[in-house]
Amino acid sequence: MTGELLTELRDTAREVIESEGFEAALTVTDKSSNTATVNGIATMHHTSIDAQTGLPVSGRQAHAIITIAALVEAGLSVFTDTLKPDLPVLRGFKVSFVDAFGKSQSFVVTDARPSATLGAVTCALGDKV
Amino acid sequence: MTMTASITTAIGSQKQEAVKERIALILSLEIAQQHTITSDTATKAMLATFMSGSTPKIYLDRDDPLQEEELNGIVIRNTSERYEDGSNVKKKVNAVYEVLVIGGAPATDSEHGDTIARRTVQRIAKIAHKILNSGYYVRLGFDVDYIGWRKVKDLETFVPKAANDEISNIVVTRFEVEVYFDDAAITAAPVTLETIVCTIEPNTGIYQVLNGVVDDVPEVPPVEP
Repeated sequence: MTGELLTELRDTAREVIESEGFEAALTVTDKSSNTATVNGIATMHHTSIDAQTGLPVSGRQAHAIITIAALVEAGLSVFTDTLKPDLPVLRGFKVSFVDAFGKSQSFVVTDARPSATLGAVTCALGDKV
Repeated sequence: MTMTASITTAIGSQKQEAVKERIALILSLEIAQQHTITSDTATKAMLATFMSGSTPKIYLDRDDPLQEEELNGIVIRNTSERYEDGSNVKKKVNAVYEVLVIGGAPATDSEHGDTIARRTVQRIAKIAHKILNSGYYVRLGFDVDYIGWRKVKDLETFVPKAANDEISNIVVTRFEVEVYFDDAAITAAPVTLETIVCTIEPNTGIYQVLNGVVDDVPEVPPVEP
């Protein structure tokens, strides 16, 4: 039986991610081209990365935090791997949101890091044409 | 003793700088030419990502971080000069220049950005490598005695740290160009040596004349006939 505090933690995490005032509207498209809008946390910032040549490169990093429950409830196909059907598979999902400059940014999930404890997934986002 | 400056020759721009600028010029001209003449649409598109209009984006001696809007680009820097034996007139120099081909790529509907970025950067780096390694540039277009030779060396490709979280999928391919040339030294007036003139008179001994002054020299026994 799941503990009361753990259940409360998961509920609280979902509230913070989706509806406590830090959320952004994320348009998410799964690999079957189903599209839905879910709330989540989106970040994007510039940073210098070490190019390992003595010459750093200034680049952008973008992430989105989404709950798996929100994706499933929106009708997106998340558990699609036949060999590992319990694993949320999000690499290749398309995500777009409007940034602080009012510009719409489109990305593709390059690395998904689900937390089976909280039920949320942190997605590293890559540029998409 | 009071010492004053001795060198009266002004020391200006150096040969290693001219070589570095020549490498940049060759790549700029030839990459633009490749973009014009290639009939392969994929290669043309890749070359275009390294150009601003019709001009390749080549950065000479760039040490500040390359900004996102400056990518994709090629950075050329000289990294070392190794001196070999020589004389006071000239030394043999091995100068090493590095060529950094840096780029990223967005994902498309059918392909992830990391795959496109790696393929693009490696293609452009190989084109730059082939240009500098071609028979047209054995002496980098200089007169025959300006440099001895150039050697275009190994390519290595790597992904910068934190690039797995980098939305542009930055990839770098690096290679070195080693150039061998003579570097002229600033020459000084030769040291004036004292002249020694010896006159041998077999029957009377040896007399030493030092700077025109006859020194006292010990008598030596006359040589027997």
